[in-house]
Amino acid sequence: MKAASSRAAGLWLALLVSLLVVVPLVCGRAAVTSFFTQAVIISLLAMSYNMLMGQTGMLSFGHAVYSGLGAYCTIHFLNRFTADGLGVGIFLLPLVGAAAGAFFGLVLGFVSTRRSGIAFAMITLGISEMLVHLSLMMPGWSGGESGITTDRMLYEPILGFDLGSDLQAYYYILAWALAAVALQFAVTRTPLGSLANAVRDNPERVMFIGFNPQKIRLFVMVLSGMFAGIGGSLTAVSYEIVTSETLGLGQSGMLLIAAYLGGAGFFLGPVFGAFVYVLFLSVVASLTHAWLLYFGLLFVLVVLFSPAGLLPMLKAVPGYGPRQRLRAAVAALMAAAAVQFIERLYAYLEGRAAGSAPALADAAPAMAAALAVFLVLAVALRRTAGSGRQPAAGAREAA
Amino acid sequence: MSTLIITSLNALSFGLLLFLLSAGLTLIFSMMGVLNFAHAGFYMLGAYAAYTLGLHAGFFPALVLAPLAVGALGMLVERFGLRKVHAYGHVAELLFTFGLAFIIEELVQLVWGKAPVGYPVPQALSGAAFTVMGSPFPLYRLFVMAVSVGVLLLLYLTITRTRTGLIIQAALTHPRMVEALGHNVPRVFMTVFGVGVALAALAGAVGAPMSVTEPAMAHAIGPIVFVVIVLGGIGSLKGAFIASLLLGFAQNFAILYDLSPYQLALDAFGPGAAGMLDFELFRITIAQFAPLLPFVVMVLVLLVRPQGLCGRPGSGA
Repeated sequence: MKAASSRAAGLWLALLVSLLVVVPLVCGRAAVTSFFTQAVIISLLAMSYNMLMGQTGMLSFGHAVYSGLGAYCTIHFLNRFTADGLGVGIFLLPLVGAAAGAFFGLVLGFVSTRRSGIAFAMITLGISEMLVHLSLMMPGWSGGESGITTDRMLYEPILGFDLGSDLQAYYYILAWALAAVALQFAVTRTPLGSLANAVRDNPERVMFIGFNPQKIRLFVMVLSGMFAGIGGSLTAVSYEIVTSETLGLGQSGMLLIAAYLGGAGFFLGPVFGAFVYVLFLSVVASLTHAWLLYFGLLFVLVVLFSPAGLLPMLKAVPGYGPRQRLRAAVAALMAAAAVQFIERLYAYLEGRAAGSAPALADAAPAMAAALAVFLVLAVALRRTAGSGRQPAAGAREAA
Repeated sequence: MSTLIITSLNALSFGLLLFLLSAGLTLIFSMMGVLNFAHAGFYMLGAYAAYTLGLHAGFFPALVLAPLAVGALGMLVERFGLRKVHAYGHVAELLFTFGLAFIIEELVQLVWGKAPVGYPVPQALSGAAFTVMGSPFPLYRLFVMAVSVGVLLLLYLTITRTRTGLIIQAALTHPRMVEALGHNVPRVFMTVFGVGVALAALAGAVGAPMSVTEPAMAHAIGPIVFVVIVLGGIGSLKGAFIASLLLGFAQNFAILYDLSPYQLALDAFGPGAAGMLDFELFRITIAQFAPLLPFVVMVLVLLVRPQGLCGRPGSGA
């Protein structure tokens, strides 16, 4: 059973990697390359985040600190020596980010990993806010809100490779990301990986068998900071710019959401989440201004109804009969009604803000209809709910 | 001397407002074990609701209506969201409120736009309350202090002196027993969540005229509120009170000192020694450092006392 499932996982992985390698090359369109570049980088970052959240049970709100500082160090390094001055060393550039990420993981983790659970989450948030403010106060180092820029291009190509084109940069990034993910997978197979899972599930027992959970958390923090640093370097190589904003909660929150959306319990869950995020960022964002709202709603819905993430939804759930299919269809209709309502509201409010005649009378009937449909369907869905619902009153008692 | 007194009063008013905000968060946490990440979002909703209601009903009625409306919204969130997520554990609850904070920010931008709205201090409360040796103290700050103290006193008396308060206290430690005695514990939780959210909304409604009412305001105050409760010890009202005042004083007094380590060294030892400190980091003055102080204080305190000022050691949270 286990061998079969791991063989299936290996097959999926091979398919994913070959898609990542082939599609941008075959398509050759700039938009596709940029989509894949972004998705690969965010996948790597979300996976490094998931070492904390999924594998060790540490909910961090400050993971972007490590990728951001990795990116800063990379750009400073690159600017000091220039890409050509590095020669073949340009291929090892992400090591700068890795060193920076690991170093800051050690220093900041020393403070944050003294606590676990919710206090840990709040401390990571505080530290990341601190660093954002600090970087804004040091514009000479951070470039402030406009950031600092660099130039990754080699003026003397090595084997025809000068990082000049986006496609070359993509393969550079892909190679590093795959290497980093392979290394991450190796870590999960070490005793440290097992101990990390144990710390997530029952820190007290870990103490009983003679390990210090705090040290394990710190160790994982250093490793995950290192991988985030590599991701940060790749960001720097890809965009050739880094700003103070990349250290902040906005960025950390995106990594959290990507890792959780895909499925924090699966090794490749964050990759799926990252692709969903980049899909929103590039495709949905071009269709509607409300894309962040939809993204937030999607996240909340997943937390509410599919806490294991989106990835398990791809598999057929046992006991999924015609009744469930009907309920899924009703839910889809509800989503359509909600989108209809939000889009009308958005169009109306944007029209009002732009000063064009506010035709509330035109927008109102459609909005009211959408809302009514939504509510009727919601009631219907509640009425038809079977035994799957949680007993509301009893659930509290665990508190 | 007058600067000292005025700054102390400013610090006190900011600290009290901060406590009004963190009291609701602490109340919800100690009761339900839920860290409401969207707390600052409800604070912002309170400010915007008071602004909009104020346009129609006037400033003072809006000050009452806005927290009630936002509190009711909070109860709906608890009833239809949190209560379901509760079964999945505390992390899922935190993530749910995190997503909620995200949605609130987007909705506020959608409804009220990205630019700040004009929500000024009302005519009746503008001007100086009194002067200390020639320096005026704004009447509005005095009003904020009075509202904070009044509401918190009322809350304290409700919890300690009334029958409802007794049930809430009992539900906190012995939910099953309270349920067995015939009280609707889920409804108690819903009410507590609503009250906590209403406190945040009230803080937003009275506090926003002192700063800017814009979609970024939740993000500006949120991390500071979380610092307050971590610093005080999560779940401790007394700790939150001390931490609020501490941060209020630290931030307000830091602004007074326009000194940097580099400047100090220059004054004390001359340019030779100061040259060693001639880095951007050491040129930051204490006044510039003020927004950073809450976080630095948090890190320093946690290094010495990981459980926070009034937290119990070893409490898992």
